[in-house]
Amino acid sequence: MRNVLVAIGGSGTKVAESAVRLLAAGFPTAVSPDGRPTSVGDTLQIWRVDTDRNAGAADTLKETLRDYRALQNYLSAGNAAPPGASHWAMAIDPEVRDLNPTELPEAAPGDNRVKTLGGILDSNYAGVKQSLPLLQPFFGANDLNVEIDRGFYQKPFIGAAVMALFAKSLELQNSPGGKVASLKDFEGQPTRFFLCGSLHGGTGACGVPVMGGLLRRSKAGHQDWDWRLGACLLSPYFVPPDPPFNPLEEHENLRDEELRGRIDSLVQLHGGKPAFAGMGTQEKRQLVWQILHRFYADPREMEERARQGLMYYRDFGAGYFDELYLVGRPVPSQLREWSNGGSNQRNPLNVAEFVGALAALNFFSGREPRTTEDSYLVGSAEGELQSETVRLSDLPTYKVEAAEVDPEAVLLSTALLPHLLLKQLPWDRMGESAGRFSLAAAYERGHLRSDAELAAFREALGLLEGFLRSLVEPDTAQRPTGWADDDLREIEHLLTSDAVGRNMERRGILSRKAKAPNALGLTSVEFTTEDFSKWCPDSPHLTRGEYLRFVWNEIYSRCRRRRG
Amino acid sequence: MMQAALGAILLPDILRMVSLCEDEGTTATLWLLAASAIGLVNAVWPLSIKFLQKLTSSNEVQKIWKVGSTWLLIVGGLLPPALFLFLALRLGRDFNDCVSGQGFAAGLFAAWASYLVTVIFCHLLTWPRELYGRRV
Repeated sequence: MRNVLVAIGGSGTKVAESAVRLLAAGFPTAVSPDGRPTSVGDTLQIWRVDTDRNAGAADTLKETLRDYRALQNYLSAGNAAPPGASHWAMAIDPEVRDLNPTELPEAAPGDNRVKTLGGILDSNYAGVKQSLPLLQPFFGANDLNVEIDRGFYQKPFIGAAVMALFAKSLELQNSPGGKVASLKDFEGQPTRFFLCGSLHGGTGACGVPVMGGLLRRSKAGHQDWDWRLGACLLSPYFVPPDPPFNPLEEHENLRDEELRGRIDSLVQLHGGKPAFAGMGTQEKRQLVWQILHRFYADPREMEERARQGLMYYRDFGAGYFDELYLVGRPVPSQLREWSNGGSNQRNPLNVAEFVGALAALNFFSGREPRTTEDSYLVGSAEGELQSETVRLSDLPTYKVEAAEVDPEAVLLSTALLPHLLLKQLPWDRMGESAGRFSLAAAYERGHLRSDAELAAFREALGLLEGFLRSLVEPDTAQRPTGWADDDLREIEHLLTSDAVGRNMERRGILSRKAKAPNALGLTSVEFTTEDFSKWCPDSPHLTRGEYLRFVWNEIYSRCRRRRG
Repeated sequence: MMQAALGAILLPDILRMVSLCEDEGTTATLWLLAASAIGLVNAVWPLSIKFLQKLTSSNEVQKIWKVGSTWLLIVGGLLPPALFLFLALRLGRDFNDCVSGQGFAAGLFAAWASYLVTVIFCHLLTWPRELYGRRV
């Protein structure tokens, strides 16, 4: 099945990054013909809708996709396989489709060149009459004149107008956005579109309903198209700090000269702070102007914006989607560094983004459309959730056909793979092991070279370890994520400790049981090295990804959750 | 230990047999049979070592012997019969009269041959890959 994840704004981009990391870590979205959970067979394309071309989140997403592709290549069948595809996880298009809402078709030279709301709605090209008098009752002068190349600054009323024009342009194949999205390629193709963005921001808050509306309208006349639409809305899960200096008071009406002077002095005073890192003088002046005129995410307004957003969905937007997820945290994370977008806004993955990505995978794994009776599902943690010390065991599970996907069990299974593959296989004596290790027998049958296989496995497992570690980075004051440090500590133990192998040894000479289970949080798994030695798919053309997925499934099927 | 115990048990019998040399042909045959028996019995210890090591290993990787290690053990197993027959040569009364240097060599060859046949045959039955592991 084709899946499209439409990441709208910074939060949406972080959810997309989480989804890629989850898929890399082995999270399934389907069931293979032999009944094993997997994501192989599905495909994913990521669209990123944001005016902030240089957003730090976008850079991180692209780096994550590069690592994902490298992982897939190390696990693939070599030159025979298409690049980026393996039997470990679904194929993800390595190119993020960047959809910039300010890149609009030009009716004539000069149209839509100025990247402000006024510049777009009142382009004043080719002698067309000014629309400013019509706009003035709805927008303030600053709203019309603020540069929107770094987002909509928590002002969806600015973004909605631009986004609506942009969504309309996607229907035109020759428009800048239309060429990138290429909606025509999806016509008649079974596809799941999953949109995600924040409720409280600017780009996400206006982009999710507008893009949802576009896709719903595109499908409306074609009931035979197997398109499904889902969306994830993130309520305020982090709170930015106040900007480096206070904005102008409501009553402060500075003349142009005074304003310039104020901006100059503020640039001198604060221009060296992290929020201004990597900017030229002109960009610094522009940022100071934005702060002075309150064009930034105001922590005091976030909750109210989210409430307004939800009301909009209640009245209009919810109907666009087959499934709608709402993700939030009881207490949001407090960010330390203030930023107004750009490449220096690089936040670690937050637990809410992880849950948003789980919602995406849940949506991608649903084969049958939900009926209206069960459309409202409220998933929440059992018991009291501590916002800054969330554990994997607190996360919601989802279903892939009959199989329950428990994030803790998935990560436990994946975290055991490096130890098993690198320390519990006799790589230096594969030729002697064919009778005892099924993998060695498969190598012999397939004339595979164990040294080349080991080298590729080492690279792939190194990347896999990186994906695992990044998913559960513990919460600190500098990098608030919402995760307790226990999960990463236990994952590190599984990745590095020889105790893992000792637990898999037999209890006694005649016993078939393992000495002790290996565990992550409340989930544990027990098997012996002898059990592991027999795990290998019966495949005529065995690939590393296929073997890894097979072993993963054997571990996953043995995972048991203890009572918390 | 095992070899020493075996030697202690068998040596008097061999010496007794050799001292009975009245018919050279019979003695030579008996000598070769005894040497072969020694070789056969000698095969028990490397096989036992390997079997016990595999049985007691709680980790599957440790149970795999490299081809080199297997052959080292087999070659190491050639030493005890040679030592044993050499001791018999030195300690046996009238031994040189009955079993000359040539006879000693023939006995040694018989002991080694029976040892190698036994130990290789047992490997082929149980752990053939560890005898001739293919390059994978």
